[in-house]
Amino acid sequence: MTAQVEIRDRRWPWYAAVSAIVVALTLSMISPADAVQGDLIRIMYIHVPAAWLAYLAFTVTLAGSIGYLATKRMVFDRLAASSAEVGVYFTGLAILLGMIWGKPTWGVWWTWDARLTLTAIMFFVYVGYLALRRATLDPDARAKRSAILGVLAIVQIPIVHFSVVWWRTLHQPPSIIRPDGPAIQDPLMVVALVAGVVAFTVVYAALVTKRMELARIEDAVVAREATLERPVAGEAVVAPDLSPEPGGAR
Amino acid sequence: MSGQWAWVTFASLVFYGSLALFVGSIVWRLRRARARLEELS
Amino acid sequence: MKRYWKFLVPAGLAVVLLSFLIVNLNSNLVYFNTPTELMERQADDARLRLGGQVVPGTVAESATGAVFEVTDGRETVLVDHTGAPPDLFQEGIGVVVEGSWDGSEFHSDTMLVKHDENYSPENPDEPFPGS
Repeated sequence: MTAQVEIRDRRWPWYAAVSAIVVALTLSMISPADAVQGDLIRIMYIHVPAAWLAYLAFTVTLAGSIGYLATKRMVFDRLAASSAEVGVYFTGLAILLGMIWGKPTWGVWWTWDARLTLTAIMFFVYVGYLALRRATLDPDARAKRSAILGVLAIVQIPIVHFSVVWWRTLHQPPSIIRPDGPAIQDPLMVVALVAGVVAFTVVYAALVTKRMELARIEDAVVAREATLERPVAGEAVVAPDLSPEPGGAR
Repeated sequence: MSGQWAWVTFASLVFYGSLALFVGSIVWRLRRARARLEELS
Repeated sequence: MKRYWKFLVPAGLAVVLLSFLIVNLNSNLVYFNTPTELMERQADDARLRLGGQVVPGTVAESATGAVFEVTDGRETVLVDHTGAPPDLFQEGIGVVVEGSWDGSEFHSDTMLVKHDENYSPENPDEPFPGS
């Protein structure tokens, strides 16, 4: 099994990601300033896509977790783990960009309203998911445990998203997915936001592709180490029994 | 309005900086893992 | 022994999350109260968060900050704010102020601008978009 591992170093995900970001950046800079928040709205064109991609990433982790539990195929475990790591990155990015937007708009970097608090909890639960993976050495046990957590943790996504609708928060309610239709009329603003979401999706796909490549190589390393170390481990146990004198003489 | 552009620039730097760090960490781990795999074969 | 771990770790995290939610459901999930809700609590000494829209034409500078009226469309509260308001503070915008009642006036020392979900370009014909 280990002999057939030949993983190509693909470059195209990086090229696709860079071009998508360049297009989205240009559109976000030429779109009009907002009537109230002025140029600060440009931060929204990266903050909102980052938050959406975090939702998408954790949903893919759910899909990977279910896939693993149903089929026991390691490719699903690698997908779940890779997507969770990228999702943690996007969650952290959304929180940081939100803080940078919040300081000049609200007047504070952070406040404990429902949306912000629940997003922070979501961040730490998925950091916990990654920690659980590091704490478990056996590949099968690790895959199973993290898959269970990957399924359970998904309940947070609707709670985080709808927290601004269910409870009165400082954070504004959704602008796009809401009962009265989108709250963005200007076409250039819509284009800037959509371009941001598309670009971040391409970046997400690139990151997950490369992260899965890494996971495959790491799994191959572990498998090969296991086959190589078995005889060595046997010698290590036997060795002290064969030569008790040098140790006892000292 | 120039104050607002400073915030926008700050946000862009955080975005590009963090993305570069994350991409860098994946590329670095990939190189290390590939080298390890070479070593074992 | 190892079998329990598979359930303990995720279950423990879920319990922590749920208990946090339940504790918060009592009060903290509502970030601020409306003028209508707070009118009934004028005798209360507690520190409160009042949220609403700044009534156009009521904003005046004071020696210590600003005086203005905040409304939810039904009730209106006079706010005496101490400190410099955030940059985006203006007539017609949503604010959340923190402080307490002093008679029928609300004395605040912390102000946050609550931005709404509307995106619209600058337009001189419509000074308060979304209002």
